Amino acid sequence: MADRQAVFMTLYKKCFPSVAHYIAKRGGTLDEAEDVFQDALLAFYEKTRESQLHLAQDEGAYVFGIARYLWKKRYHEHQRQTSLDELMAGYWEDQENEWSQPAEQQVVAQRVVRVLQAAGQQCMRLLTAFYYEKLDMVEIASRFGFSGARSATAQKFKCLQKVKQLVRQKSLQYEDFVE
Amino acid sequence: MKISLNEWQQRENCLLGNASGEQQALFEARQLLDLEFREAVHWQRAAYTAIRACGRTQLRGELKQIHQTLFTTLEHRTFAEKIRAFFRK
Repeated sequence: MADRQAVFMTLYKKCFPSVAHYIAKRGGTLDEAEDVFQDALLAFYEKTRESQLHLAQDEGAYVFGIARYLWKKRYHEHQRQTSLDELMAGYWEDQENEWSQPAEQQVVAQRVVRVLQAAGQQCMRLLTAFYYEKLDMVEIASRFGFSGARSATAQKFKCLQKVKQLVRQKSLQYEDFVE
Repeated sequence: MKISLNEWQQRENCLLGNASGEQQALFEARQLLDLEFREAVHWQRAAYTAIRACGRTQLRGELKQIHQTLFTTLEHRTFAEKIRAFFRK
């Protein structure tokens, strides 16, 4: 986790000036530049984790490309309310590489983020390490102090079942409420 | 419906695109034929979506913290000044 923060600090210092300059030239504000840049970093991170993509030299250009795309979509085409996933689906399609969630799933996710805290902080950290950071079970065992990949896998299974129950309970309550 | 770690893993492979073509076809077929299975798969998929949203929220918080550090600490004053200068009319 500390490694990730160090990587992002380096990326921030390296790439934010060019993105901020680009947005300032087009009449944007520092807050808008911050929003666009952070979304670009998120999209970049998720893409590299999903595809195990390694960009040794061009990461700055890559992040800048995403930020420019997001700026145009959000502030020129006035799609400020469009989710990051929906915007990026178009971007990745252009590059023969798509990953997007159906809108219905996004709604479910947003609603339950707070609820999932009930699964416990340790569980959520473990699950996001595996499913979001894409660490393997050996790395997870080491980070969380398990004796090995096997016990980390067993714990992940228990945590997932907890989360599934929470998502299910909350969604059923919500559906009951709105119908 | 209680399931084994093995079965959960098989479903996960199918949902996350890590299954063979044959496993995937069987998985799709079972969803068509078995309502209870289909519902369980739906919630398993929703759990992954929710975990991903949590991961993203956590990372977004880390990025905001980095931004805050760069724009409020003496150590990075030159960097912050350079950026702010872009936005002065």
